Amino acid sequence: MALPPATPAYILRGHGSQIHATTFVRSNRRLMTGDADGWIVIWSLIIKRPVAVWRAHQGSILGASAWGSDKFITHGKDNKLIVWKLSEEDEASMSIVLPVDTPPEPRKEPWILHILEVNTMNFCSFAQADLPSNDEGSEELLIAVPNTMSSETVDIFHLPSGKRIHTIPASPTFKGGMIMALSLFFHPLTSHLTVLAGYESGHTSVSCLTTSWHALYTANPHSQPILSLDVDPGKQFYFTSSADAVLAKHPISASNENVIGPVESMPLKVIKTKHSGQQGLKVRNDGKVLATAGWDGRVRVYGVKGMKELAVLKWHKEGCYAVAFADMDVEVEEGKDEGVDSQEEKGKALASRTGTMTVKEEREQKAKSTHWLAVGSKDGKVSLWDIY
Amino acid sequence: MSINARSPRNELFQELKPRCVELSQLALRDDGSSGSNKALIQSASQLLAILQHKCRGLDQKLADYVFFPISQILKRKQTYTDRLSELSIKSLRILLEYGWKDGIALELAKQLLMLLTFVVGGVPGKESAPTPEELLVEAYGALAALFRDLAGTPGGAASVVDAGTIPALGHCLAVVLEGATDGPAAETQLEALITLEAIWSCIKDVQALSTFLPGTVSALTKCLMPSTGQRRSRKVIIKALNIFRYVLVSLLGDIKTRNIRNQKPSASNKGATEPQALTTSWLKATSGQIRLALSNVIRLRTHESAEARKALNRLCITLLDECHDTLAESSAMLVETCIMLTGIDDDEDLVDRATSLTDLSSIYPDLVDLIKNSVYNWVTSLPRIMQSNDEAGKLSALENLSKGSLLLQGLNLESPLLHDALCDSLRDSVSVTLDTLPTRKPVQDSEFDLNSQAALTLATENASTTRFKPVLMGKESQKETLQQFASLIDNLGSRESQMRMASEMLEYARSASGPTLLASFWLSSRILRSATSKNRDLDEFFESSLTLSDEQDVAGQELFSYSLSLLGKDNEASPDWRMQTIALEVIADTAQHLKQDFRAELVDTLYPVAKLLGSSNSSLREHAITCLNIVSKACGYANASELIVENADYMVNAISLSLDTFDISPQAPQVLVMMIRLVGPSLLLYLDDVVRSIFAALDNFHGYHRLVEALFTVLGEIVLVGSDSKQLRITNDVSIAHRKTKLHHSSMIDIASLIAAKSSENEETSYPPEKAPHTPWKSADELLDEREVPPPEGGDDETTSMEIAKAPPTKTYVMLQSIARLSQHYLTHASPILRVKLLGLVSISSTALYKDEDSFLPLVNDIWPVVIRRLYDEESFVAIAAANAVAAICQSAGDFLSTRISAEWVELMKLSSQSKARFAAEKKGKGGRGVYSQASQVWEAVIGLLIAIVGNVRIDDGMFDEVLELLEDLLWQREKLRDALETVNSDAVWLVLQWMGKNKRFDQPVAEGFTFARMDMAVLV
Repeated sequence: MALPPATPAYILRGHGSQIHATTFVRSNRRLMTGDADGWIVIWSLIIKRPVAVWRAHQGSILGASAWGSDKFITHGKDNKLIVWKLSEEDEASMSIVLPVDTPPEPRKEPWILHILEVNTMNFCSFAQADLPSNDEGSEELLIAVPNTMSSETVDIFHLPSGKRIHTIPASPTFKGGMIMALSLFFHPLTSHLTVLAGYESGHTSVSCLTTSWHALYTANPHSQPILSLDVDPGKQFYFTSSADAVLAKHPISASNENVIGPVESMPLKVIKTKHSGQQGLKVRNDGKVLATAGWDGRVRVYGVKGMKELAVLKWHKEGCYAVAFADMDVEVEEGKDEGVDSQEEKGKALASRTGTMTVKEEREQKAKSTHWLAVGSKDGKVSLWDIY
Repeated sequence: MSINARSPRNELFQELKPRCVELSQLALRDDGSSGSNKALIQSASQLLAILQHKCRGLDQKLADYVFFPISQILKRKQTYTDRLSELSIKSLRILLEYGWKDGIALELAKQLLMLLTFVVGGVPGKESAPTPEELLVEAYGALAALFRDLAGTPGGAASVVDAGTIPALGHCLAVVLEGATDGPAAETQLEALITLEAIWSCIKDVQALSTFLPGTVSALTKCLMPSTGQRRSRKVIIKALNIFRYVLVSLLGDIKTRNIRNQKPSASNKGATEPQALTTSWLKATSGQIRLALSNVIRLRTHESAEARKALNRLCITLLDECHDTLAESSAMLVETCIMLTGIDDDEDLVDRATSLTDLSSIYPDLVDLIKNSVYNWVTSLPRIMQSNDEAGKLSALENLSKGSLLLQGLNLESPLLHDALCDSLRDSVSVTLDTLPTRKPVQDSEFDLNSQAALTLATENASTTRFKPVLMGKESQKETLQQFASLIDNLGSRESQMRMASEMLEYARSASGPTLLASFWLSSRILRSATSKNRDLDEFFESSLTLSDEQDVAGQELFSYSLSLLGKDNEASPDWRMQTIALEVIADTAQHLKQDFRAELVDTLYPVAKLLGSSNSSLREHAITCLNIVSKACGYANASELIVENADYMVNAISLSLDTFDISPQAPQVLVMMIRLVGPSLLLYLDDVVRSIFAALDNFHGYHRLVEALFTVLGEIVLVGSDSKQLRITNDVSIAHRKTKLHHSSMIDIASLIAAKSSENEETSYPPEKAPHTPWKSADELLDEREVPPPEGGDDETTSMEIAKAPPTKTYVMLQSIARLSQHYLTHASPILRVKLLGLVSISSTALYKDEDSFLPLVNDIWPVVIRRLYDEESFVAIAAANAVAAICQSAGDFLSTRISAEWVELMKLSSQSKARFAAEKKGKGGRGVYSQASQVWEAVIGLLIAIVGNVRIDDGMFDEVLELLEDLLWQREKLRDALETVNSDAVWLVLQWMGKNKRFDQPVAEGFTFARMDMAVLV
């Protein structure tokens, strides 16, 4: 079993300062990274080069993600949350000079769709959830950020209207301090809006909106502030990591009937990793593995089920702050396969045939289907790993 | 017969009559004297002239008439060697050709036959002088005309072969055959052959023909056999081939021999009583003989004349067609020849083209097997031929094979068996041509010298070769063989089979080793290339499913990835460098095929290729350069440098990753140096992790001199490029000058201006009276607000405010600094070259870094002890470099060093005086090398160092005096030195100069009432 130590497939160089956000967008063809100086770089994974570079915020980037295919949301320390519009065709007009090379003239920025003035006192990134749309065409999104006034409560904004529609009160049972990490989704079973929050005190809570906000679950597995949390794609449990060495798995109970009041309950599993400071945590969208980015410069990959350490990825000499998995389309394709009749198969064969035609397409396909793991680090570099 | 027709005939008769009469009279009166002979000749030639002129008007009667005098002349002749007989034979020929063309009297014909035979061959049993050529030609012509006439005369053909004439005919034939083979000139041979043709076409009797066959065939064979002694003319050969064809077809054509072949053996026995020669056994024996003859004749297939080969091809084709059954034994041979001669008549129009082997093989299925057989034989014998040294043999073997396979392709005869055999054979043929690799010296790290390698030449010279030098069969003599091989590969069959073969070869290569590996890889690449180029037009117009271009792409991809994996391997890991060169060719081909799309492939491709620029093998380097050129052209870059500059990020990534895995090949540092040179300072921003990896590598491999040197070359290059870049961005623009300046003596003017300034200042400060303020300077609200502003929260804001106070040093700065700091650990390294390199690095970086004192001075503190020790290095060139480095540090750090210098002072002075002494000794000794001697150079360096110390570092007076004393004899000749010293203490310098008498003479001032002491006296006191 003595495999040689894994090496990254590629290193994306070019950020001038530490990287705080990494996320795969445009069905894995692009990687979006944001650094402490407010720069956003969109990388093409096919040619491993930047396709768009701009300074989104005057302060550090806290979070970045995609909304649909051509909108990007960035959240900066300058108290702003901005929605940009940058379609694939627009990329050609963007500057590709990397932040390290400071260019003389100001960069072109993408079209700004919305700006939300939000609280960025703490380092908490926003969370987003698509609103189940009644009529197609209008895209609506909910954004969860810490409250502007008190950092212990959560505001939920609605886009495109930009209105604040909910405020979740702080839990009365514990003094959590600032909110450090958030997650927002509609529960698949109850379709209640559910918010996961991690606090400075190490507490974490699950709240859900029925008629009012209820706390379904609270736990305090960490002795240090929670740094990151991510939810399992099946929305049955979630994981938290903090500045201490603990990695915890928490349940998300579906019903709130039997829960009268917020009860302090136990997480499903707590493991002591002995590596304190795990800033980034992501679960892959197939729900099989999760990865943590640690301050010791290592990324650890764990199995979701048994929480067993599967791999340690070491390349960065400095702390890693952000980690991201490329989306895997396995389930979608499997689902398709079942319903394929012969005619479709023929079509597919034809498609695969044409697929072999151009090498470019082949590469694109390869870039899309590779199981990338991107790690952003304090040294301003992003390492790409092709793993699991 | 009309009057009109008759009258010209009469005219002709009237014209001929006097001549004939005259001639016959002369002939009758001829007494052998020269006079009558002359008259005869004259008359005969007049007759001949008329005949030549009016030959078309001749008919049988006239001919008979004219013949009479000629016969008179000929009758009287014993020998036929003179002018007269020539004239008469000529006339006779005209008569035969025109007069008797519609028929000739049989008796006359017989006589003429004998006569002409005598003329040609001489009278039997009589030794005679050889007949002149002209006469021979005429006689043959006459004979040929005679036989043509006979053929035209009713009963002529039969009369020739009747019992009475046949001996004469036999003799005639023998003579003609002899003339054909041994005739004195090509012309006579040709005429003889024409005569032979006339004889054969005249004789219709099969019996007679069969009697003459062996002789004729053997004579013709003799005529056609390429021999060294005698070179036949092209025409003769062609004629002979045509006659040979005619002879064989006329006697042995399938139609003629059908009956014989169908005869039962018993039937032939029954008819034995009859003079029946044409039996099955005869046929068998004859065809055997013919086969022998043919085997000689077909050697003409290598004849240089295309016409001859064409004729041979026709012969073969005709025999295969017409004598297909009779000469079945020889058909293999004929088929082989035909394949070889395929395409000989390609230049002719389609209409004129004769039957081809392809057409025949559709008629006779057994030919197909023969074709297959012969191709198969060639295939299997190819490796053996390729092994020999006979390049011409190889050429023709390859050509034949390529024609053969083309033919098979045309016939749709590709069989898997043949395909496999071809695969094996090709592979073996290539691998036997491979020279056994010269045993390579075990790779020592002394093999690479960073500065002489191509990696760096690419940066400077714009090499633009875009053609690979052949690696296999690269010798001058093998050039054509290679070409032929290429055309063989081109003709390997349909695209499908080419594809299949290419992928089979590749498959084989994966599991093979040694020469076969190389051979199959090479073949695979060649076949694919040929397939690509052959089908380019096709692909443009047809759908891919139709043209199999998908399969081709897949095969190409496979080959490409295999090549890439080859290049990715470590240099030492692959046994044969030629594999890599082929891989490079494949990559270049792929790039040319994909054009701009290849840019996406550069991620993985560029570094492995560029890496080879640093190879120790020169042909590999050349290949790599060529490959880069081709790739850059294909991808639309102007040249290879641009390619590298534009894709530096890919290269950096690859280098960094390879350094990380401690894959320390000497190439990586070289490529890195090249890139830094090409791209310039902007690359440095992306190199921080590479530098870190280099540090790590240095930690791990510090025992390997060359490697450490190579790595430090990279670091040195980084420092060099980085030191003059904008990216250093020293933020505080305070210019720090450590250079000492002269003390400013205040003069009277200064004092006066000072006083003036003071007084004006007093006036300004008298302020006008001011009103008291009516409102508070700040409102209470404002004050409250100020209080309310929360203090900056958390540690984060504090750090940001700190950052504003002092911007962190730029990446490049940090990099240079860390490199300089690292160098201290290697200054004690055993390799003097490395030490020199490091000292150079220290001096460059200290001049670059000194502006940020906060970080520079600690660095100086770190490296000082190690650097100063190098001054006493036993290698004098290291000491020189150290002196320069210390001088540079002095200039950048200034007074910071003063305690360090004074601590070192005693040693330093000792070194200085030593080097001075050595310099002096060297100067005195004979045969010194002047300024180029070591001692002098060390001394110069020491002087420079002392200047730098005195000029930039504060030292106490005692030390200054020592310097002065040491350098006193140089003071007057070195401006720089004097300047530096005068800045500190000009009086002392003056004194020394005065002492030495090098100052300008002062005139002793004269003033009344005073006597000045003399200057030098005063100094002495």
